[in-house]
Amino acid sequence: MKFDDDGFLAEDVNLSLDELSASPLVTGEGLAIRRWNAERRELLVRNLRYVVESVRSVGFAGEIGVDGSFAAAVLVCRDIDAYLVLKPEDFAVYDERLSELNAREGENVWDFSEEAMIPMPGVGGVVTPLRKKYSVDLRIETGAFCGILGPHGERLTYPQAFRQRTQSKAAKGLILLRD
Amino acid sequence: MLKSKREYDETIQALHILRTETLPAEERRLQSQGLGAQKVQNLLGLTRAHIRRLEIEAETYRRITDGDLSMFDGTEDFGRLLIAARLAVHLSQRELAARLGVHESQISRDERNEYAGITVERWRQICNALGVDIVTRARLEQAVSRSVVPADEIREAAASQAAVPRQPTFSSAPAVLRKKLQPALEFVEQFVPFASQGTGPTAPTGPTGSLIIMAA
Repeated sequence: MKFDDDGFLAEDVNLSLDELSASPLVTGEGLAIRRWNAERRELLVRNLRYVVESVRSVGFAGEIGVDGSFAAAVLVCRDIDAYLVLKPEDFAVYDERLSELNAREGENVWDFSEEAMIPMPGVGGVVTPLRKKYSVDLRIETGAFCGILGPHGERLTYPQAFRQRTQSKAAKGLILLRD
Repeated sequence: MLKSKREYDETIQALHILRTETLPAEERRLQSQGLGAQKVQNLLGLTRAHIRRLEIEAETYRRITDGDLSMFDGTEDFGRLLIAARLAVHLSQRELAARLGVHESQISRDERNEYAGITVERWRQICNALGVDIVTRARLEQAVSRSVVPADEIREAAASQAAVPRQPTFSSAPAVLRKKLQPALEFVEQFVPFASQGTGPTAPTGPTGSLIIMAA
């Protein structure tokens, strides 16, 4: 696992959840960062495992990845940013699958609509119920243009735009979860 | 949190594109797959939620650069408050770095880490460089409840007098408690002159202490 000078992944890495748990992004080994919060990151991976197993169990088979602060060698990591790319065949059954997950959960946690967003104190903005409960900020993507332009003006989708650093537009890597 | 004018401008651009291009195109694409109207709307809701998040980020940036830092409260937001203070005084990372005599990449790294682990001395240097005062204010009832009185002594005092009210004022607390709390109150008042104007001490079973931080 290679990081650039700013702590971002230098390239994509393919990992299983077990491999992610044992990786420097959780243990901090080899990162030479003081006060690394391995305990917090372990908790986040446990919650991510629950989320991944949940979406897989109802039939979502699309790519799942992790980006954001969790996928970087940085100290502050409040949550874990993940994404699921829907496959075209998921579109027709999307609602039913979320309903099934909510039924299991016993509450409306699997709701990614604007109406379900929950305001967070401070500068937390709004978050999904899933993010509030499990600290996993799962974004569900349909392959639509995300509004972000590439370095040459090209129209990016997610996760393409996740591979671009916000300020410099330089490339960065993601964690691609392997089943 | 948006950390520069450039990020803000890109967010505004993204919002425009999402509203005018992405939503209509996505609606056509989903309809072309034979999905019912409700299913199309539910899937479009994913894009609408994304738009809402960006709108709030942009609005927060505008508030901060207009000098409104009232959304920050507590130590969890401390690092972001320093970032916001830089935005509020309209300094770039490069300009702040120059004032501090460090390389721009150092500020970029510090802000990415939200100043985690910053020392008080460093905090003062940054505040001086920004020309802002960061005011800290302890909540008296929390600070006192954490500091001094063992729970069994409170129970003892409560048993010997009237029941301790749920939100007692300092003057209405039992004499035993007042005696125990007085040194702590004086200690807090040394640093926080207005502390005694609070609602008074509460039982130590309440929430842990808190610190309000604001820029002035």
